[in-house]
Amino acid sequence: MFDEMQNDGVVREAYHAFADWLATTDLSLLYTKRAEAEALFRRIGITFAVYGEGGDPERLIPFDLIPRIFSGAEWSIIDRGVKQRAQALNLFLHDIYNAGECIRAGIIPADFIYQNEAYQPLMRGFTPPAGVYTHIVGIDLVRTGPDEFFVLEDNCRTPSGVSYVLENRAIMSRLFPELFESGLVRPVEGYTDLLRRTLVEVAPPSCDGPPCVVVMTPGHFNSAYYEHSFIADEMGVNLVQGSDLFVENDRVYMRTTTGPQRVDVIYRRIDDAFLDPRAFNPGSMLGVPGLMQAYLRGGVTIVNAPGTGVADDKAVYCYMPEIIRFFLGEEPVLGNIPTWRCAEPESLAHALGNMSELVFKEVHGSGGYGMLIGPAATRAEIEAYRARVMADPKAFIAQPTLALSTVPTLVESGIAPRHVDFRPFALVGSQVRLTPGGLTRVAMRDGSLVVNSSQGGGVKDTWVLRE
Amino acid sequence: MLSRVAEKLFWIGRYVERAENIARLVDAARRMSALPRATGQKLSNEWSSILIAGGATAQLGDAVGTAGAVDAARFLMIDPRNPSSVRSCLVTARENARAVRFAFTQECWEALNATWSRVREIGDEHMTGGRLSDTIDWVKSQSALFRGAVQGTMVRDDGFDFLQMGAAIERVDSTARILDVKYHVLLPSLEDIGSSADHYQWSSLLQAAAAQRAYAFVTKSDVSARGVAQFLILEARFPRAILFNIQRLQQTLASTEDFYGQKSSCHDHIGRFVSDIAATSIEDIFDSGLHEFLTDVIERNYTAAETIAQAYGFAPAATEYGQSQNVTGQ
Repeated sequence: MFDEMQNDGVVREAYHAFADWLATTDLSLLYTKRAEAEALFRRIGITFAVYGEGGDPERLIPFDLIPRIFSGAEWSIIDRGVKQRAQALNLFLHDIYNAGECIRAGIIPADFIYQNEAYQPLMRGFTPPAGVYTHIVGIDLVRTGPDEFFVLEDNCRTPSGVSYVLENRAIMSRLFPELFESGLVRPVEGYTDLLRRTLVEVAPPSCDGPPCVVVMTPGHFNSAYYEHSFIADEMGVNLVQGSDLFVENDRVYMRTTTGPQRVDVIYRRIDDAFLDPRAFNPGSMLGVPGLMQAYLRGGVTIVNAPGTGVADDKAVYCYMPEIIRFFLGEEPVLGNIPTWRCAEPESLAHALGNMSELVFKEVHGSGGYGMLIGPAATRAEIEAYRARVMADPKAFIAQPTLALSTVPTLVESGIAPRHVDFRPFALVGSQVRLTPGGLTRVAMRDGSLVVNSSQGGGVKDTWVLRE
Repeated sequence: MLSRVAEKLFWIGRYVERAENIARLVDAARRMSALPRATGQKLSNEWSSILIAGGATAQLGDAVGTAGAVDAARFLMIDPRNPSSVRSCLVTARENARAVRFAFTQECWEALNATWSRVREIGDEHMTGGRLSDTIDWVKSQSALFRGAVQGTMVRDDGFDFLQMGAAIERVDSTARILDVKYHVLLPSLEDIGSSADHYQWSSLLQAAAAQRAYAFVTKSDVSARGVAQFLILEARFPRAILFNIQRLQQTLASTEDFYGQKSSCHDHIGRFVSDIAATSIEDIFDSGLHEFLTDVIERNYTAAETIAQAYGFAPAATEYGQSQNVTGQ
C-alpha cells in the first residue's frame, strides 16, 4: 500500500516541511481547528444538499485538515496528462457529431456512440465556437505508486466540486497561515479568472460587445447549489434560473429590473434534458423554450455543450487510450484502469468468474451508487449483483480493485492513512488551462475505497508545490 | 439586477420585518394578559385580538375567539403551518436569501443563517413564562442584527433599496393592523371608554409597536385614543409610524430611480399615497372612522407593493402574495 506522505518511516520529499510542522503540533490543536473549520463551513453555508433521505437536508462534507501534497514533478505529469485528455475528448466529440472518422477507422463501435442515450442528434453537423464541446472537464484520477496515476473516469457534462477546491484553501490558510508563509504552495485562487476568460473566449459569433456571461442553476434545492452561486459570485456574473431567461429571434435575454438584457454565454449547471422543453423534455419546468435553436443558430453559447455525456460514458472510457492515439498521435500520459466490458462475452465470463476481486460499476451510473466492491462484499451481495449483471450485461463494467494510495487523515483515533482520489479541473477555451490543484476526496472510513460525498466521503486541501 | 433577485430581496425585507412585528404582538398580548389582574378588571380575550392582528382568522376560524395563551403563542411564534409565524417568516427569509445568496454581503447572510439554525430548535417549551419573553427578545435582537448588517455592510445600490422597500411596506401593514386590533376585539363598550381597561389597551398597542417610551417622550401627554392613533399614524419622526414608513418608501424609490436613471411606473401611486396621508389630520381620521381609514391604508399599501413588483418585472407571484393575503385576512 502506497502512502503519499511516508513509507517505511521515510517521509517523501513533497511532505518534508509539512511533516516537520505536524511533528511539532499537538493533536488536540488539530481537533480544535477541525471544530473551527466545521463551524466556518456551517456559518458560511457551504453545504451539500441531500433531500429526500430524512435528517438535515443541508449537510457538511467532512473536511480533513491534513493536506494532500504534490511535488512540482508529480504535478507536471498530471498537468500534461489531463490537458491531453481534455483535448482528445473535445476532438472526439467534434468527430462523432461531424465526420465520424474514429468510427469509420474502427476505433470505437458505432453502436456505443449513436445508440448512446447521451448522444444528441440535434448536435449533428454543428460546431460550437472555438470547436469546444466540453469546456470544464473533471478528470478523476487515482494513484497506486510514486509515478502510477490512472484515470478513473472522465466528467464532461457538468462536473462539480471546484468550490471546495477554493473554499478548502481559504479555510486552511485562515486556520494555519504559518503553513503558507514559505510561499511554496501554488495558489488556486486564479481558477475563477481562468474560467471567466474561457467563457468569454467561446462567445457566439453574433455577440457584438463584451460578452455577457451567466451561470445557470436548477435552483437552490440542487445539491450543488452552493457551488453554482459561489462560482457566479466569484466571476461577478448573474446566477440565473430558467425562468429568468427567454428567447426572442434566436437571441437569449434575461429579465432584469431595467428590462431585458442580452445573454451571450450560459455556463449551465443543469442537465441536457432540462435545457429546453421544446428540444428535449416537454414536461420540464426548468428550461428555456427555444434555447437550443438559438444555440444552433449562433445566438448564444451553451457551456458545456449539449451531448457531451457520450464522451464520459464508462463504455466509451475503455477506448480513451485509442482515442488519444487516434486524434493526437501521442501516447496517453495517464493510463486507464484495465476494464472488462461485460457487453463482450469473454470479458463477462472473466468478470463473473472473479467477482470477489473486482469492482463492478454501472455504465451510466455516477456518484458511487450502484457499485459492487467485490473484496468488501458479502457472498449474498455478490450473488444478488451477479443476477443484475447477467440480466443486462452491457450495463456493467468490471475493474480490478486497485491498492489506492493513502494520505494521513485526522480521524477519531488520531492520524491514520485513508484512501484518496483526485479531480483536477481542466478549462478548455481557445487553449487548455489547468489550475495547480484540484479536489482530493478521501474515504473517511478505515479501508474504504468509496470517496463520494454522497456516501460519506470527505475532502482535503490539495497543494501543488513550486518547482 | 435580475428581477427574480429583486423580488427575493424585497420579500426578505418583508419577512424579517414581519417576524419581528409578530414577536412584538405576542409580547404585547403577554403583557396585556398580565395586567387585568392588577386592576381587578376582566378584559376581553387579548390573545384573540392579537391572533386577528397576526392574520390568524383565515386559518383558525372561530377558534380565534377561544384560543388560550399557549396555543396562540405557538400559532404565532412557531407553527410551521402558519406562513406568517415567526419561525415560518425566518425560515422563508433565509430560504429566499439562499436563493440569492450573493446578492448579500457575508454578514447579512450569516445573520439570517445563524437565526435560521437556531429558530428550528425553538419548541413548545419556549412558549410559556420567562422562556417566551426570552424567545421574543431573541427574535427582536436577531432582526436588529440583520438590519445592522444590512445598514453597515451593503453597498447602496438597487439591491439595498429593494430590501428597504420590502421592510417599509411591511411596517406600514403591521402598524395599521396593530391599531386596528382596537376596532376588531378591543372595541370599547360605552362604559369602558376612559376606564383603566381602555387605557391599558391603548398602552399595550403602543408596546406592540415599540412606541411606549417614544410616545411619552415626544407627546409628553397621557395615553389616549387620539394620542396613540395620531402617534402611530402621523408621527413623522417615529420609525414605526405609518407616515414615516411611506415617506421612507418614497425616498427609497427615489434613490432607485436615481440609480437606474429613469422614473418608475409606481412613482405616482406612491407619491399620492404619501401626500394624502401627510395631508390628513387625526380629526379627519376619527370623523370618517379609524377602522375605515386603516382599511384604506392597508389596501393602498398592498397596491403600492403590487405596483413596485410590476415596475421592476417581478409582478405578483401567486404564492407569495397569497401569503400576504393570509395576513391581511381579506
